[in-house]
Amino acid sequence: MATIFIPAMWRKDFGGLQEVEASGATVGEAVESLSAAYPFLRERLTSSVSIAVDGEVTPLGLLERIEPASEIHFIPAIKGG
Amino acid sequence: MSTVTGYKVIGTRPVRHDGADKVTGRALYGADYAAAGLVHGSILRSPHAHAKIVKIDTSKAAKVPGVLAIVTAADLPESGDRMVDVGEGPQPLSHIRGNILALDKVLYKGHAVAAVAAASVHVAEEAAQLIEVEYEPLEAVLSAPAAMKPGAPILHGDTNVALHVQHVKGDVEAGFAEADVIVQREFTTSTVHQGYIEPQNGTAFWSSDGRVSVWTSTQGSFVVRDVMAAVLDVPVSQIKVTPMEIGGGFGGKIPVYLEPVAALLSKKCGRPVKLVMSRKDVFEATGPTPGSFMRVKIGAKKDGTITAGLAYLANEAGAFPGGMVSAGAMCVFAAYDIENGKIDGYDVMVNKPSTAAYRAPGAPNAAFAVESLIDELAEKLGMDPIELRLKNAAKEGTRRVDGPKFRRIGLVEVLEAMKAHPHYNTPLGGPNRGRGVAVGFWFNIGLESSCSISVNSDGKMALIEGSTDIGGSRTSIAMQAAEVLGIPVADINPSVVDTDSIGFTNVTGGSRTTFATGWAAYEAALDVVRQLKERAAKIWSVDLAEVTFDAGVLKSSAGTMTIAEIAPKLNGTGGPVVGRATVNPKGAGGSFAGDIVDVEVDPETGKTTILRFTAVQDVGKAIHPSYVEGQLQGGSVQGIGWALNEEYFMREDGTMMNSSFLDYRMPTILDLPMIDTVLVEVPNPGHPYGVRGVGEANIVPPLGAIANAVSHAIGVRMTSLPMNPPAVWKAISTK
Repeated sequence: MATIFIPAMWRKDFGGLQEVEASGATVGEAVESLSAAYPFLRERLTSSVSIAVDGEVTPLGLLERIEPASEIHFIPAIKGG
Repeated sequence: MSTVTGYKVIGTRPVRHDGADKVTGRALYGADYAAAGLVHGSILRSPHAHAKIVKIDTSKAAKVPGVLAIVTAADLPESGDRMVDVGEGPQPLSHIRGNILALDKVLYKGHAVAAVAAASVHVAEEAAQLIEVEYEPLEAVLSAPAAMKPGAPILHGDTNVALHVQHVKGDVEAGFAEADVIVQREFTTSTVHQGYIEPQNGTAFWSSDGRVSVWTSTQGSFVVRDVMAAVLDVPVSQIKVTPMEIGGGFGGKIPVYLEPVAALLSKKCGRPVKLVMSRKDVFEATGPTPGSFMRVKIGAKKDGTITAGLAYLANEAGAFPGGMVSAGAMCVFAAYDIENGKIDGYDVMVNKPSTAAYRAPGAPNAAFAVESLIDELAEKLGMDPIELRLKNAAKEGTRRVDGPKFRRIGLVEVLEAMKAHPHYNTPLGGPNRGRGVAVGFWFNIGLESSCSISVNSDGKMALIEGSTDIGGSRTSIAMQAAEVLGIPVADINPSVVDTDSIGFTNVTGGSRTTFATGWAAYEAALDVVRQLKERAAKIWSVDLAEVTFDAGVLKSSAGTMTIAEIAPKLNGTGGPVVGRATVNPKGAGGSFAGDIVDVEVDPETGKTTILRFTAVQDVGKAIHPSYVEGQLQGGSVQGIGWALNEEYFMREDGTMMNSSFLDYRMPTILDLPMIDTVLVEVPNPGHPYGVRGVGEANIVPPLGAIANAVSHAIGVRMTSLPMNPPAVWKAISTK
């Protein structure tokens, strides 16, 4: 099971959890696997949120493949100069 | 990914392809653009920092002989609001449109209100001043703390806080309870500008067939195209943007200001319309980097182990959201392995120009605060400041306070290089002198790039790319192709082309160009090699598997051929060879930088002189070391200006009082020593050559390093930037 880390600002809607386990071959599948318990998760993944898998922001977003030991973070999208 | 080694081209210092044109003045910048029938535009800007627009009357301006068109926000199509990708992320269309031409409110002095096109720029300027705008002035708010107070003037909606980000790791209260020493302070930084030499400009021609052509100075021609398509409600495919040479950007030439206005004017008058900003326009109407208010607290054990970090960051976004606080919040403690941390960041709208990116946007402000406190912590603990940093340094596997774990990074190597540098081990040698050190981090990004390479009949290559060349990237990209092709980089002619002539390529920004477009060039060169091998097999009538390619030479049992020998045979054996590649890579390894700086402060005047400055950075692999050194030097110099002199000096009504290079005090060569550079090469495993972006991390540590040096020189902690002579003199006088 991959681990999805819950951003601090979202934790109150996740019952205070800092991380949840999720199954799937991609980030999208992992998010979908949590849709029953946390139906609001998917809608929070807007274009202002970057998806990082194992410490690396992925341009594939929800399509990025994951492993059972993967760590998934949702972090603010940033821009450089 | 395995990293290529044993280089012949990578790491050398060839002459840049565009050098002759630039030093002889032949290179064409946006303001040089000329075309048959070209006319000129002028923009009327708000004299108020905050006001309602009651009425705009253009009748007098329209009667001026020579005036061809006038536009206001009413001429912008209203196509609803939606998020528009502006290169490195999305922005609401309403904000983009509202910044290009004010609709019902002006939000900063200099906000564009209307524009005129005329046969000459002088007529356009005169007519613009005849446009009558009735304003209802509103109270302006100019700092984040003031804008967050109850009852503050509101720019949009019901709050000036556009964004609150928070990161929490561990238990910060427990962490501080464990600490033997706690340091905490409040810090402020002023609004500063990127200060590129070339002002913004843009020429547009709206053809009668509906196609829009644009020539402009931009860090991202495709961003200009896409923003114009959204703002003008024109299909992307109807717009072609040609990037002219660019005279600096540093992030400030990613936003779009003039091009849609020029297009609207052109649509009305049927002529190409050119708009060029003055320096005053650049300061007052383009995006500087945010001023900030920060409150930071760090706790440590007696042995120097940091137990907790707490940061509150409030950045001034300017007139629309975008104050870079997200990045600042992710960078603030990035250099340290902290078990317990909490970071709150607020993006706060104020009546100043809408901020834009500036080299590692958000990170220098944050590092100024944290690196000042780390220095103070070292003092209190009686530890060497580099040893304290080494003891707590983030490394591969360290989990940042914002969550993700670092992959391979080079902070420890940077700190070791600083500690071993002769500069750090040389006595200061005089009174009123101080030495400061600091480190800083920037993420870097990947994003989309495209490249094609054509083999000419003489064996030389034409490389086509879409990345505006700001810092020598034509050459650093071509070098990555040359390494694959086994030819001198002088045999590759790189060209930056318009948006119809290459695949989508994202901005030259985020330290991504040598990383991502270089990767595209590497892949395109591999595609050329693959095709050359196929062609050689055909010519030699041998199996493809038998053909090898090494150092520019094709070999098989049938013989050998250089690229120059096979090139004239290509057309007759299957047609021209063109290699192509597009990428959108992950793996943009972050970069750490560190500075050692010696200063001398005149106690009579408070003037600070930089005596010696050493910039160290993990650059992954330096493709062209001279250009990399130049990036370190440039970032350091901009950091010196930010630390010591630069600021938007504003009246309470929001008027900038120093909107010229005479009064906005950027460092000149007379203010600076030679910036010594040390390139630390910890290859990025996410790139074929180990490249890390190098354009930004170098501006992160100078603010803190200089503040620490000045503080040691005068015996007072400096917590507000700029540390100009009056500020330093005041600190000395009140100690």
